[in-house]
Amino acid sequence: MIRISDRNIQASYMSSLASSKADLATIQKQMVTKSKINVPSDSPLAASRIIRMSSQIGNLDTYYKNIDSGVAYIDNSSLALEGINDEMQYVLAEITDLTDATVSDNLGTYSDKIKASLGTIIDLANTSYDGQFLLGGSDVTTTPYGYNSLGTFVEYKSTNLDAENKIKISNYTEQKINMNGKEIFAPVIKQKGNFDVAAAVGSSETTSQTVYNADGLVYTVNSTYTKTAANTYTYDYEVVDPDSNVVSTHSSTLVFNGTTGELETIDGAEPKDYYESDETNKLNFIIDIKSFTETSNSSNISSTISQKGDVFNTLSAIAEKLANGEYPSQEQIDVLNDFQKNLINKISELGSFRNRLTDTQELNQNQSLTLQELVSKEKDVDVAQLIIDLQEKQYNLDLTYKISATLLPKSLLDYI
Amino acid sequence: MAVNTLLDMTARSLAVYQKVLGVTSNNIANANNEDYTRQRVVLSAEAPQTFGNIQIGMGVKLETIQRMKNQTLDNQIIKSQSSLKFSEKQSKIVSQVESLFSEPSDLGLSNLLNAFYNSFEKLSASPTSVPLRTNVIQSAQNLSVKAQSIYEGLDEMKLDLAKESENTVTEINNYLTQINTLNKQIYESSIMGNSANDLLDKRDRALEDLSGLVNISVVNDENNVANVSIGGVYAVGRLSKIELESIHENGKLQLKTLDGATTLSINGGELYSIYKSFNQDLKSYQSQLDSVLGNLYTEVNNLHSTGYSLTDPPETGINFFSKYENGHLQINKDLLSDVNLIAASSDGTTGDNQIAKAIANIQSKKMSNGLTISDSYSNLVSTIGYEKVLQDQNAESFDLVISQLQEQKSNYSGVSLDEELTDVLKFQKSYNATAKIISIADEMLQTLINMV
Repeated sequence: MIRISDRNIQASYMSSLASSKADLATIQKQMVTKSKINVPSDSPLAASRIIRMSSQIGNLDTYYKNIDSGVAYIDNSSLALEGINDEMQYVLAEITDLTDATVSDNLGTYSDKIKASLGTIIDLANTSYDGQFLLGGSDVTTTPYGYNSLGTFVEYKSTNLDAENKIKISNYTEQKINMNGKEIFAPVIKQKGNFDVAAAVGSSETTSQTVYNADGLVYTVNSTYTKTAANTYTYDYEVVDPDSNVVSTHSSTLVFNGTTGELETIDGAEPKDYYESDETNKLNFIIDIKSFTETSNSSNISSTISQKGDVFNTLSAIAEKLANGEYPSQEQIDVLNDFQKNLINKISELGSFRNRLTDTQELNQNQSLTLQELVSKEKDVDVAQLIIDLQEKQYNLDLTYKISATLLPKSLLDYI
Repeated sequence: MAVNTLLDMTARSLAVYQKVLGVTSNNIANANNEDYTRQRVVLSAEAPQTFGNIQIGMGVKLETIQRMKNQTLDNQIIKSQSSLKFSEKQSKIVSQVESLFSEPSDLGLSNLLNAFYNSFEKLSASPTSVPLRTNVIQSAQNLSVKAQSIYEGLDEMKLDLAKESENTVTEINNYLTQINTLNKQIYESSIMGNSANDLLDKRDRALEDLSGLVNISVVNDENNVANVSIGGVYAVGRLSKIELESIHENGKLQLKTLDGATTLSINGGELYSIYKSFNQDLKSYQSQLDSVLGNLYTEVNNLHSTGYSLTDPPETGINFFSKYENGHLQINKDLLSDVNLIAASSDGTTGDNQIAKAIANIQSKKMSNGLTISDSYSNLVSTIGYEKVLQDQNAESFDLVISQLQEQKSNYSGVSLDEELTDVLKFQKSYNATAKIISIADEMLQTLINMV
């Protein structure tokens, strides 16, 4: 027979009491903090999950704000581009009016109107938001477009018109939110393709491209790529006027990466665009050769131009012509039409950027809500359940007291 | 048998029952004394007297007062006590570490780390914005302050543990002195043929308390002298005892004899927990924190130094953090005075955001250990959480073992009032009966006297 000492009964009672009180303390703490996980040891796995999910929620919150900021950026850009489009429509309507013989005595007035429109277009092209010029490039603090010091020629004030402003809108997605000068205003001669890595030193590839000057005269840009060593080429281009006179030449050295085949340097520096700005010949265009590669395939190069000519100086030249009583040439009108067509495409593209942002924002919001719900499941207490647990533990404690109150004071002494 | 003999025998018996009732009342008095071991009287018959070929019993005698002790149980309790106290102490220390990290909460390093990355993400959406640049600096400062407070908190804990180890070793020395003194007294009682039950209780309590501080092994000799070893080194017996001290050298705490000649290798008790936490755990946490913050320092600076500031002209080669040392992630002071020196651009143009994005993307970059910085930190937090859970579970498990052992001990050595009261009744009856015999003997003598 097991012998039970009085101390044993007391210890057993104290142990039960301590256990019941510890359970109650845990419930009380959970009720006060409304959280099941107050320290990692409450559930290391859940704590780790909460940390990860909270981090994701924080990221989604940042993406949400970035998207808000991106949408504002796009809205302001769209507003500026739509303003330019309105002005171009007005200009083209005025030019159409010129076909009416009755206005021939008023060409000076039309010249003034077009000059005013050009001023508006330049102002809109220099639209800024939150201290940043929206339609330039990555140099957002320099006014991107303006007249030269003599006020005779509109220049690109920055040589970084091609930058893309991308923001992160979800864990794995970035979205472009800007339209830069290279995409909207500048005629860009894009030369691309590949050179055969096995081609002999001294071999060359050529291409040519026409571009209109502000007066609508056709100039030709002749390009020659000559291999001078392994992975190394000389790039020469010349600009030829309609009378076959070479008005500009340029030569540089291109080096391709021997492994990836990508264009690594131009004249020892990071590849950049060539900005051809020639006031004398009223030429303003960009040459982009950055996407050339050197591969084991046969050499194959091509050249395209984004728009026929530079809209700013073409408008300026048209106004000048009208002031002199001359009508704009068809080539000049083509440049304006070409610009407007491209402009409408870019406005539409911006709209699609905006839609993507808002769609992603909605997805992010849903994801954030789901994550918050999951965090809540891991962390937050179920108050109803907790109250039931509390009642159960309270009942256990009462029972412990009751039993001890009944048994502890009893001994044989009470009966003798 | 002569009437006088009868009187002698009953007188002795009365004395025996008085002693027996004394032992019983001592048991009752100590019923609630945790350290008390119940005592049991062993009675035996007195040697009989021989009359011719007849032997007549001479009554009862008190053979001995037994101390109801189970040495095997005591040894098991001592062993489990070391493990229990080690786990309880570990749990307390890890709990303190947990509170330093403040996870999972908005004030935790993980949230501040995330806010730091996100401040660069926000800056990437508007690289020229001065408020967003200021936000980057504020996020970095919040991160730096929290990292420093965790690291310094761990340092402070180490200082406290070093101090606590000294106090614990002083306490151990006091117990060794007490056990040595008790051993001497027990030995003297023993060779005098006396039982030293109360002294043995005192010494058992001292041994149990000592085993909570450090793991010990106890061997009792034939005179009930306890010979105690700590970490394989003889610590105390009857004739000698050693004195210990806690030494802090080469960044480690060690338990050594006062002369410094011997290092004790301990593996249980509170002192072991203090040493383990000081020598290994806290250092490991700091080292993991160093890895997290060191990686952040390197990755951010590697990117930031290649970027360009917003100043005119743009500057490059600027580090975001000027130093990382011992949890102190110092932000470049130049950036604090001019937020335009934050390099968000990769090419010097003001609208470029490549560097800001790249720094924000460090969040998902895997380091040489195959984990992101945040994952490494999250692992550290989990490790601490699991350590606390493990030690709590161990403590609970050892507590259960000790409870069961104590229950067995209590069942064997503890006082049962019912049992004692039964004994009181039983021995009172015997006493009364014996007294009655004296009364009868007295009457017999009276009868004889009256016959004269």
